[in-house]
Amino acid sequence: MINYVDDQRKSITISANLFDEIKNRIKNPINGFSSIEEYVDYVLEEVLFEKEDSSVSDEEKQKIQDELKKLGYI
Amino acid sequence: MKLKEDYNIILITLDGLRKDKIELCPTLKSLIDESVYFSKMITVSPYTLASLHAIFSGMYPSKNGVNAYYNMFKFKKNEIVTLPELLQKNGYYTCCDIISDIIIPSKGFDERNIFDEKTVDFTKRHTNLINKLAKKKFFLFLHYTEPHKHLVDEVIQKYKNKNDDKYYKSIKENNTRYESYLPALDRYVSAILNTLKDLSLFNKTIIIFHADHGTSVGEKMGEKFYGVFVYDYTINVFSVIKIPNVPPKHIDYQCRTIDLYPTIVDLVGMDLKQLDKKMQGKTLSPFLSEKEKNDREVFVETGGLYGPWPSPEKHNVFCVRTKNKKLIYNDTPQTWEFYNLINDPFEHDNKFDENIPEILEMKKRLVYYLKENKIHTNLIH
Repeated sequence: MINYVDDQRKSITISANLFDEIKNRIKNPINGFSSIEEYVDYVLEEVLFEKEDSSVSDEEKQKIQDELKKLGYI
Repeated sequence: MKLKEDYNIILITLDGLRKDKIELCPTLKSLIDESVYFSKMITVSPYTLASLHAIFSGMYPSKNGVNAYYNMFKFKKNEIVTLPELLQKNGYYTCCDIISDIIIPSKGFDERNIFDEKTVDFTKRHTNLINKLAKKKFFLFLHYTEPHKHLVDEVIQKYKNKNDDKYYKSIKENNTRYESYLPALDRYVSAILNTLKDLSLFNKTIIIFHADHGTSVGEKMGEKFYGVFVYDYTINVFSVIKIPNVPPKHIDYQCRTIDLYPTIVDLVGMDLKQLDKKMQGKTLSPFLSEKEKNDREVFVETGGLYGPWPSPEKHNVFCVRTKNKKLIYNDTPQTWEFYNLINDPFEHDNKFDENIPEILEMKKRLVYYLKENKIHTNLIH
């Protein structure tokens, strides 16, 4: 079930175990997270967008290799 | 600082020039004495591709998209207004001469020239270009890669599949080899300046010579040229800015290469409100007027093609550098290094200890930059 908080934020539920684990992790000030929401946003961005960003087609891979070869690196 | 005149702008990258070798370049050294010299300009990424995209966008690599060798085609061109693009919109004829189409963002140039590094005569080609542009109000970006050419043949290819030890045991020889590239570089600088004087452009042009990164001569095992680590011999570079009618000044405060774009915009009197709100660089003009008297903290990111933990798909080595201290985080082996650059300028003595409050504070700053630039590492999870 989704609860709509406002236009920018929507709420969902997660398991109590995960909640407790995150709560524990963000206690470490070095991680720089001020809330569980911030942590969840950060991790989900990685899962959802970083993999998308890092996907490279075979054609693109070949182009990259060609460019690196031209520059003398490989 | 805003100048009244409509000056031309020439930005010249002296690819891989080590700051400690400027002493061996008499013309460049003389130019420094009559220019605004930023002696501690830290590149936000120590390899050309990422370094130049950061300069042309005023943003850290992970913000502009070119944050790995393999992300060379990932510049966020639909979101970012580049330096030449903005200058073009403000009436400049924009032109460049570069080693490869991928080395800078492609947007905003009226004229893009690409040279063949193996056969190019930089002096002839670049002085001809200046001659050609003399009657226009222009922005010209020139990429001088003569040292890179030699490095490819004499280091990168030579030691590619061989035992690295020989290279790291030959620092004196590596140094001599590197220094042999410098007379040609200095003659090139001289030819550019003389051409500008001959065409009466010297006093109508903002001339910037800078290095995109330094170059290893074998100081640290694992890095034969650059891009692998974030030690000072590759990140601590310089910028010389010759501004007509502005007295010479040495600025020893730490600055960042992402500050060059807004500085150029500021120097030619354009409204800084035109800059992207997401831009991370800030004009360096307050240093000239002495309104700013603090070192700017710098975040640096890289991922090597070679080395002990190559990472061409994703940056995996990061640091925060303050005036005299540096905290390094190597994400692949998940190791930390901390150096006091006053006592240990060559970064030999790793003093990392997370119980020391100062180091803990720098760690927080590093995490801040990772989050700001949406860089995902093993650190946080």
